[in-house]
Parts: sequence; structure tokens; C-alpha cells
Amino acid sequence: MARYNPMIKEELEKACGSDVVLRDVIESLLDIEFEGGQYKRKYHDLIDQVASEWGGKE
Amino acid sequence: MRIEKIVFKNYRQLRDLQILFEKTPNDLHVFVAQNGAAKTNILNGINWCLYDEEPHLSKESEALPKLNLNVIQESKIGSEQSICVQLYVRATDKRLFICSRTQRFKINENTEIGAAKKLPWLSSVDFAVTRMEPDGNSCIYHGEEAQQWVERFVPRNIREFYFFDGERLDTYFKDATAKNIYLTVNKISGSDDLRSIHRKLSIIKDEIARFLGRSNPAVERINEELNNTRGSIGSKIGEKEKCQVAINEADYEISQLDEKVKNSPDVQTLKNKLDDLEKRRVDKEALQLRKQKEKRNILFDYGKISFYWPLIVKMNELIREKETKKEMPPPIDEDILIKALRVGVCELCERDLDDKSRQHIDKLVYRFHTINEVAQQLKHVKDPLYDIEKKSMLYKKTVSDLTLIIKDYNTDLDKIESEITDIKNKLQGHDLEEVKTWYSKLKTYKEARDFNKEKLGGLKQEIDRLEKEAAKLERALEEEARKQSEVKEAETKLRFISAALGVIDEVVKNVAKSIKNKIEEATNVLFKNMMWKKNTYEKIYIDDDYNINVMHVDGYRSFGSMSGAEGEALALSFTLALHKISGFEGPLLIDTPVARVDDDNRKNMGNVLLSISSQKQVILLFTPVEYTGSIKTVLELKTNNKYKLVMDGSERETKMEAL
Repeated sequence: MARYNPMIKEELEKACGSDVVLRDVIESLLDIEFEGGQYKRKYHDLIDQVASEWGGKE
Repeated sequence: MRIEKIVFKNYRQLRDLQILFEKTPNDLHVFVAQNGAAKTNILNGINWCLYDEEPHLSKESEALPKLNLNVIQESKIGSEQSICVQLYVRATDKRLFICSRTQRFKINENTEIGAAKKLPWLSSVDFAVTRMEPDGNSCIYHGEEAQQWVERFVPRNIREFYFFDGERLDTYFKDATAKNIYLTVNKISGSDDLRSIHRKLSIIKDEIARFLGRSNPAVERINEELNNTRGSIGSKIGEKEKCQVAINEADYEISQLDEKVKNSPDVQTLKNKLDDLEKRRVDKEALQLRKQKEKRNILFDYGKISFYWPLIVKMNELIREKETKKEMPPPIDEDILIKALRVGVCELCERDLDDKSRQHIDKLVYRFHTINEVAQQLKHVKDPLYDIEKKSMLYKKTVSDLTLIIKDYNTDLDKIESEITDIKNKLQGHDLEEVKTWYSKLKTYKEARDFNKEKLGGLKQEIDRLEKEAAKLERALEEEARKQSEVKEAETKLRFISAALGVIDEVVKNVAKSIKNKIEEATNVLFKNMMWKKNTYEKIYIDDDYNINVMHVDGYRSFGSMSGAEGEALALSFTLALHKISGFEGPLLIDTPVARVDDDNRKNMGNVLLSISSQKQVILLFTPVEYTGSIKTVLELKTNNKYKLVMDGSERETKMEAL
């Protein structure tokens, strides 16, 4: 994980509970935000990659 | 994030200066410089390098060229020179960023009489950021792209929270409004990144929903409705923020004006009262005059009557006596007497009248005539005389009543006169026009604040309603999406994104609340450590919109009445709390940090700054007058990074020496 407020990490863990996939995705999105640049492809790739896994666990 | 090195080349007095910020257990760096020895220009140089701005430039320096004056003087006409400031910043993840701003000039001849003979003409500018990875790889960015990197580390609009001019700290909360603070907290706590993710995920979700909508029109309709509702929420939030800003501004102005008018009379109210009293005085005097005239007229009439009064009394007594004796007129039937004389027989005793009787009756008739005439005359004057007597009794009462009324008027006039004098005394010694303007402004700001508060309440309710509506539509949208079996993958993505959006909303909300509470708590601790008055202020409160207030131990709101030094302590406490709680790893640079604080209290501030320097980089730029006594003792032993900035003989170049 890149830099961000530990409080965000803490609250993220609380809000996601046992949904580790969701938490990892949001943390990865924060990394993408930090790096900057074009976001759309990166977001789509990430969601395509994890959505079915997440749907299966749901 | 910390500044490792700054290199100045030909920038104002800093012709050739390199400052290394070596890291020691206390990351504290002290610079001491006389006024004019480029102390503040270190702050300006950093700002210029990062943002192409020099916000702390003095009026004298504004007129001078940015290129060092000796360089201009020594340059040949037509030659080229350049200014360069380089800032080496190490990020928390160990990457090194070198920000470098360069301006190139051509030295031209100036033919204007009485002006400098040589003028530097700007020929090119360049801003570059070099990113060096810990593994040795590097990448250089120029222009817009370079500026974006700066924005990621030290965003321009929040620079006032890490690069300070200590002399302006007392007006800190005027410049840093609640809205600005709120935005800053979001920015440096990283909540803005979450919001940005929310926005981008919403766009992707919208695309997926549109795709689903093509096979189910209900989805498209609900989605459109949802977007409209979100749009309304955004617009209402914008209105709410404007309202809040207006309330904060009004609150600030009211506290300032309250302070000004505290010892001044309400001129307009007193003026109105004075006008009213003067009008009442004129009216009362007119009434008094009328009553005095009335009394005079009555006394004149009464005077005339009193001259004849004994005679009138005597006449009335006579008439009353006559009336008592029934002599008005006398009880004699004249007709019987005349008939007896005519027929020679008394009608009463039926006797013939002899001569003696006849003479007696003749005398009776004569006497009757005389008495009757007097009685008639008395009867004639009786009513007017009684009337005069009655009136005379009334005159006395009327005069007495009028005397009392006139006396009352006198008392009223004395009272009015006393009130007029009192008001005139109150108004004396004040600049009435100025005070009147204060009160007028105070009234306007209070009205504006009340209006906006009422509006804000309505907007909050409206936003709440719209948010509930949006949540309802979200649920409906998810429900519709679930029905789309043929687009299961899209449906899963939609639900995944909805879940992510829900989590982000919750995290943003909780982080905001938690940060606010922790900042409030930390501000209180720091402020109490720093403050020399231990029994004056009870607590600092920060509301959800980041409006700050200080509660006096006696329960008063004291924010507007704090001294400059107290305001500086509060601003510093708040900023340090903001850094600490929001997780912002940036340095803290303060120019003239304790100029407004007296020596006894500098020690407290020195201890706090020292304590902060064990957690983050603290750079302090002092004047020699500031860096003495207790604060010097506190800081001196804990840092080896102490430098003195001195001007050379030409007073156009600054050198650095270890202290």
C-alpha cells in the first residue's frame, strides 16, 4: 500500500468487515489514485478481475 | 515527507546558497537573520519554486527584479543570466523528488533617465520535477505534468497549513475559513482520494447500468431518476457550503464588530431617543404654556370678581334672608285690597269699611307697591349674583387644578431635560459616524447570518430527504439489475460497485467524524501546553463544518476577543493537530514564529515546537530579537542545525554561517 492516512485503513477494515476482496480493491484503487494518470482502463481491469470472485462469495 | 536540500542560484539576495537539512533525532532547523537578510525570501523561494508565486514578498522587494542585483550589475549588456531554485523532497516511500524552477534573462540596456541602467528581460522559463525511485530509476517531468506531481505532495491551495508567515498567524482563521479548513482536512487526510474513487466508480456504474437498461427500460428510468437526485444533492450541498461560508464570515465580522462596539453607545438608538425626547420637550412646553395662559385668564376674571366680592356676598345674604321670610314677593293679595276699597266691604270679614279701615288699606296697598318693586329688583339680580358666587367657588378649584398640572409639566420637563443631558454625555467623546457605521454593519451582518442560518436549516432537511430518495432509488436499481439474468456479469459488477460505493461513503463519513474529534482533542492539548494563561480558557470547540470557537471559563465565546499572541498559539495548535491527526507527513516551516509573543511565553511555544520536531521536520526562521532568552535556551541544546544568514558589504547578497 502506498501512502494514505492510517485512519482510512482502519475505517476501511471496519466497513468491509470480512469482505477482504472489497477491501483489497479499494486499497488498490487508492494506489491508482496516488499514481495518477488515466484511470478508466485500470479501474475496469481491476473490477473485471475481482467482480466474479466477489460475486461467487456473495 | 521532508525537505532534504534547497539550492538557490541568483534568486534575489540568495545568489549562491545551498541549505542541507540534515536529519537528527529532533528534525529541527533554526535560521536567524536580521530584517532584510533574505530570511523571508527563503519562504518566498520555496513558494516560487513550487508554485511560481511569492506570497510573502515585502512591498520594497516587489519593486526589485527577481534576478540578484549584483549579477545584473556585473553582467555585460546582451549577456544571458538565469535564476534557479531547486527543492529536494524525500517522500515517505523513499522516492526523491527534485523540483526545479528556472528563469532565463537577457540583460538589456535601459535608456530611461533616472532608472536602472540595465534591465533583465525574461527570455524563457522551465519547471521540472525529477522523480528518483529507490532502485535508482528516474523520470523527469516538465511543465503541466511536473506541476501535477507537486500538487500530489504539497497542493498549492493548502500550502498555508505548512508554510507560515508567523506575523500573519494572528489572522490565520480569517484567511483559513471553515470551508477552506474542511477542504484541507479532506485533502490531506486522503478523503479526497476516496471521493475521487467514488466519482469514478459512479461513472463506471452508470455505464454498466445503461448497458443493463437497454434490456430493461425500468433500469434506465430509475438510473436517470437516481442521477437527477444525485445532481440535486450536489447542487444543494453547494448551496449549503455557500450558506455556511456566509454564516462564518458574518460570525467573524460580528465578533469583530461586537468587540469594537463593546465600549461604544448605540448611537442610532440614542439619537432616535434624543430626537424623541426633544420633540416631547417641545410638546410639553407648548402644553405648559397653554395651561399657564389659561390660569392667567382665570386669575384675571377672578380678580375682577374679588373686587366686588363683599358686596356680592352681602346681596346674596339679603336675598336669602328675604326668601326665608317669604318676602320675595310679599304674601299679600293686592286684588282683594283694591276690591275692598272699590266696593267698601272687606271680602274676608264681610264688614263695611269705615274711614279708618279704608286709610289702613290704602297704606297697605302703597307699602305693598314699594316692597314689591324692591323684591322684583332683588329677584332680577338674584340669578346672576348666585351664578357669580358659584363661578367664584369654581375658579378657586380650577386655579388649584391648573397649578398642579403646570407643576406636573415642570417635573416632566425636568425629567426629559435630565434624560437629554444623560444621552448627550453618553454620546460625547465618540466618533458618532464611525460608531453608527459599526452598529449599522452589525445589524446587517446579524440579519444576513439569521437569514442564512434559516436557509441552511432548510437545505439540510432537503439534502436529507434527497439522500433518502437516492438510497431508495439505489435499492430499486439493484433490484431491477438482479432481474437481468442474461447479463449476470454486468449485474455482479454493478452490485460490486454499489457495495464499494457504500463502503466508501461510510469510510468518508466516519473518517471525517473521527478526524474532527481527534483534531479537536489534539488542539486542546497543544493549546493548553502552549498557553501561558492557564485559567482563562475552558475548551476549544470545532463543529462538524470546522468552525472553531474558544470557550472562556465563565462560559463566554471568546474567539473574537483573543489577543494576537493567543490567536497565534491557537492557529499553531490547530495546524499541528491537523498535521498529526490527518496523517499529513509534510514539514512545518514558520517565518518569525514568536514575534508577537513575549519572552515568558515563548518558552511554552518553544517546547511545543521541539516536541513536534521529534515527529516531523520543523524549520524556524527567526529574527535575532526573537531568538533570545527562554526560547533560545529551549531550542539551542536540541539541534545542531542552527544557521545565521548575513548580508555582505554590498547588502545585495546573503551568506549562511553555522551558529
